[in-house]
Parts: sequence; structure tokens; C-alpha cells
Amino acid sequence: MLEIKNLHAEVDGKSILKGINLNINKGEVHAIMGPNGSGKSTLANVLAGRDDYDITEGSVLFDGKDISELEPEERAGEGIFLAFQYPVEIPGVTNTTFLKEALNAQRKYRGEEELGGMEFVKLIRSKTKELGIKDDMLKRAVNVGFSGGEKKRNDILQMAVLNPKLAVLDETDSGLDIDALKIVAEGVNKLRAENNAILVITHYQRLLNYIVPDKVHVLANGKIQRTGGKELALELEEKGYADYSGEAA
Amino acid sequence: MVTLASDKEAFIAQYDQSKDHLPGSDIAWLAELRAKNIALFEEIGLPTGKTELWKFTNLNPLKKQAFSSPSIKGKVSANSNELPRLLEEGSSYRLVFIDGHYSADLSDDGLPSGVSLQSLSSVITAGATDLEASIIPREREEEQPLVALNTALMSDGYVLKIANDVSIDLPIEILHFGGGKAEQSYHNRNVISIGSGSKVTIIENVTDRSDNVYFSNSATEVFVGENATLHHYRIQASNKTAFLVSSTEAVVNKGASYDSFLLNTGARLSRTETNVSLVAENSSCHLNGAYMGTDDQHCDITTRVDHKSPHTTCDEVIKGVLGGKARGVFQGKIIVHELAQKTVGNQSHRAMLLSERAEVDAKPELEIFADDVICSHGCTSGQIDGEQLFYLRSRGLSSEQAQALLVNAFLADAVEAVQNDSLKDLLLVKIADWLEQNPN
Repeated sequence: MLEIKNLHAEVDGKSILKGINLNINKGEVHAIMGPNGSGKSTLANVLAGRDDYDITEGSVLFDGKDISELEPEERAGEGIFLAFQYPVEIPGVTNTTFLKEALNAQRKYRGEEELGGMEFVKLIRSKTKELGIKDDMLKRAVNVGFSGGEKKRNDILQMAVLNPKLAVLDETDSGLDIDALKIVAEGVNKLRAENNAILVITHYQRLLNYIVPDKVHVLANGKIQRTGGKELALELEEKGYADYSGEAA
Repeated sequence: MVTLASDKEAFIAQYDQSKDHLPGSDIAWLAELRAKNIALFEEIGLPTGKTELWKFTNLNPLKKQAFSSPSIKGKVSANSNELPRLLEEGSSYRLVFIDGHYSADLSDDGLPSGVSLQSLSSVITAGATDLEASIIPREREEEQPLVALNTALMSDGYVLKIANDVSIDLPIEILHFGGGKAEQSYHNRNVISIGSGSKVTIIENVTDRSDNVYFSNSATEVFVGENATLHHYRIQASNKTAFLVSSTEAVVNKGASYDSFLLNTGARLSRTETNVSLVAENSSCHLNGAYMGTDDQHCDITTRVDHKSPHTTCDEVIKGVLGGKARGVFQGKIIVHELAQKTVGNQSHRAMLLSERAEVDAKPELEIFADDVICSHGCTSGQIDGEQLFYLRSRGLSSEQAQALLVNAFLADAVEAVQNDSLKDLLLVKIADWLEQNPN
């Protein structure tokens, strides 16, 4: 589903990603772990198409299509979803309005019929129920006045409604206490399916206790240094990233 | 040297030509009032950049344009089907002005008892009784040359009088429909007088039917009686070549409230001035508004609130969005006089600039002579937040859609202050329409 080949990227002229190779298939959950400054968040932002993150070499294929020149909204339409490390507050725009506009924009992009009011309400109700989210959250302005945990859950709700093929969770665990972390992980697990894939980006192993990955990659100095199974995360938890710091080959 | 088409002399010449035909030329006090005001106008002249109150609004585009004398009451023609209604027929009383002239035929009748609504020209024709007291010289008249010009040239307008303890359920909608002929100027004078304990909503709709250049220089005197409430809303959605200058002077009595909202999307140049005097205890005012500009539009909102009595409050929330080379001006003065203890005054102006060449000038001023008051003011201007934009786009919204959603949310917040729900919805629709037509 996602094929990253020899990806080099820079931010503000500074080279951050220096040749990433990564393949993720349908139904898989991959974790990327690494020390601070290793390029983890850069990778997430490059995949989502944020401005100022420039691909200088290599390619990113999504379902066989080169997405490197696509706008962020086009990537969303293709089925890529980024759960933000710090979800953004949008005063004056309710969650319902936002979700409806986003979903219909994506459907339009894919040439699908837009959902009418009733169909949308039905869909959103089923998702809030599934995730155990109170309906009053829908009437509130997007993330405004939300606690850290609520913001992350709101991102998961968006993910559930938009139903992406690939979800990239960028340090979703940051700023969450253990209870909030469990709730968010539970939400993510409910959305795991044969047809979609999840890329979890994290510094700490603890999130991976709840979202169990099929593969774990260690990213350091802009390159994937090692790939293993879920046990690799435990090893990193024990030994830290010391082996991967410095100018590793 | 550039010859200006509408300099001071041109307006004085207009007065000289039309003074014998203006309504009430045979009424001594009125003819005298006009003469006195044209003399005042001659002495002060049109405002320039050196005039402190007009520092940010340059009238040169107006001066370059010739305007014909205000037409003396003749035939008013318009197809009633082409006249826009803000609220559905039957949900407001609509009064119609075409190119500055009142049209009885096109206006609704059946106003409730206790409400007297007449055109200025008919009040003058009937002898102008009571009018003298209503257009007494304003305070600081020397600072208002365009009001002096209005007084000299006024030919129509409306006089609305509400008796005591009358509540009108339906709003009074006043349509100012311009643009019938090119290069005309209208100097309408209005009087609104609300009796004690009464409650009324007035919605002024300033619009037109063509791209013709015209100059509307209106002045409105407002008296809000004890414990009365006036909701005074104004929508200026004229074409982008019009010049719209208006000055409203409101006196608010004990326990009374003057609540205003301005939505401005139109005009090449607009200057909307509101001066409120809170003259007795527990009087209050709300001066809210939203403006949007694009191309080379210039939108000036100038307000002044005089707290002259204790326990008076004012709230002011103005928001603006500017694209193209548009320019916004906000001047807000709050003066708390020595007597006005326990005053509360809050003012905020926020502008969002959608293009690099858009510009906003804000001048908030607080002058406080009492020592026990709560006053605040804040002015900000900035661009659309890049993080918010990316967040929305990453969920599938196009850049234009995301921008429209953010701008809409920004302006909708200002509309929250409007108490009439159907009008609130209408304003939101106007904002959304504007965003659709002006993606910037």
C-alpha cells in the first residue's frame, strides 16, 4: 500500500530524511521509533504534504501512485490520515460542520456522492457510539477548550468517520496520561481492519503495549537503522537509543 | 495642478443652484439652518488627511468624481419586483427609498398604532412641525463638515416616531436603493425617536441596482427614551463604485439601550460613523459589526461613545476581513466623563488580512476622567493561521474551502451579538455569499 523508496527530505534547507525505505502492506501496523530529532515527525509531515517539507530525492508511492506532488487535501482524498501530535484548535467551527465538510470533500475527490444531512448524522452517531464519545463533543468547536486526551480522541473520531486507508499517528501518546492513552489506543484498535494500515510514530514503547505492531523500525539520523518485530520495541525500552545515536552507518 | 470635480466649491455651487428648490425653502428657520450649515461647511471644507478624525480616510477618490445636484422630488420609478427584501414579505414593515427619495407606493403600510413613519420631505411639506427640535445642532458640529453639508442639502429621509410603551414585533426594514442614475448624490436626513419603554428593531439595507457611481451622505439623529430599546442594524452591500458616508448621533436615556450592528461589504469608499451619548444612569450601547473588503475598497468605521452618567455600559466588537488592496479603518473613542463612575466600557477590533497588499489602520482611544471604571480595548490584525489551514487541508478540505471556513468562523463570531435570529441567519448567509464570490 505504501512504498517509500530512498526518501530524502529537507526542512528549511536542512536535510532531515536521508534515504528512507519502507513498505507497508494492507492490514499491517508498523511502528517507527527513534530518538528526538531523528526525523520521525518529519516523515509524518512529508507523508501528509505539509508546506516547507521538501522531498529532494526518492519517491513515495501510495497504492502504486506517486503522491509526492499532491496537495495535502489530495492525499487525504487518496486515503492518508495524519493524527497530529498537537491537534489544532479551530474556534467557531463545530466538530459536526468540520467532519461533514471534510468527509464530503474527500468523497467528492474520489468521485463518490456527497452525504446528505441525515445520512451523515447516522454515520457520525454510529462512530461516536462505537468509540464511546459523547454527542455533545460534536457541537463544540473543533478542539477548543479540549483536554489533551479529548483532542486526541477527537482525532481518532475524525479517523473513524473519514475511514482512511493509511493512518499515520504522530506521537499520539505525547501529553497523555495512562488512562487517556488506553482509551485512544482502544479507539485505534477498533479501526484496525484488513483493508487499512496504521503507522505509529512514537518515542516510547508504552503505546505499543496497547497498539501492538507487526513491525518496528528504528529511525535515527534520517534513516531506518533496524527493523524487527514487536520485541524490538521492548529491547529499545530497555537499552535506549544509545546504539543508534551518532553518525551511524 | 489637478482640477477636482467635487471639491468644496462644487458642493457650495450645488447648494447655490438648488437652495430655492429644496424642500422647505419657504420655511424661514429651515432656510436659515441650511444657510448656516453651508457657511460652516465652507469654513471647514471637506476633510483632508490633516483632519485628525479623517487621518486614515482620504476623500480624494470622491473629489475626483463629479456629482450632480441632488434631484428635486420628481418621479420615482422602480419595478417592485426588483426591490430586494431582507426579510420575507409579511415579516417586516418595509419602507422604500429609491435614489434617495421616499416611495410611498412601494412601501408597506399597516404600521401598528403608536408608530409614525413619514418621509422627511412630507414632514417638511406639512410645515416641518417638531422637526426643528429633532435636528438641533450636534455637539462638535465643527468636526462634522459632511453633516453640515447634509443639513444644507438634505432633501429626503425618514422620520420615525414611536410612542411610549410600544413594542413592535416585526422589524422595520428600510431599503435605500440607489444607482438609478450615474453620478448622483443623495443627502438623506433621518430622525428616529423612541418613546419611553418602547422596543423596536430597524434594519437599514443600503444597496443598488447597477454599477453606477453615486454618493450617499446621510445623517441620522437617534433619541432613545427611558427604558426603551432600539436595535439598529445596517447592511451596506452596495456596488463597489459607490461612496457611502453616514453619521449617526444617538442619545440614550435612563435605562435605555442602543444596540447596533453594521455589516459592510460594499462601496468603493465607506465611512460609517456612530456617536453615542449615554446621558443617564443605566443606559447602554452595543456597537458591533463586521466588514469585508476586496480590490481597492476602503471601509472606515468610526465610533465615539460618551459616558456622561454613572453606571453606563458600552460593548463594541468589530471584525474585519480584507483581501486585494482593500483598506480597513477602525477608530473607536470611549470617553468616560468625570461624573460617570461605575462605567463599563469594552471595545475590541480584530482584522484578518487575506492578502499582502491589504491594510488596516486601527485607532482605539480611551479618555477616562472618572476613577471607578472598568474599561478595556484591544485591536489585533493578522493573517490566517497556517497551522489551522494545514489541519483542515490534511482532512480533505481544499485550500479555498479551508480559508472560507476559517474566515467564516472569524466573522460569525461577531454576528453572535445580533439578537434577531432571522437577521442573524441572514447576515451569516451574506457572509458566506461574500466568501464564495471573493475567494481572494
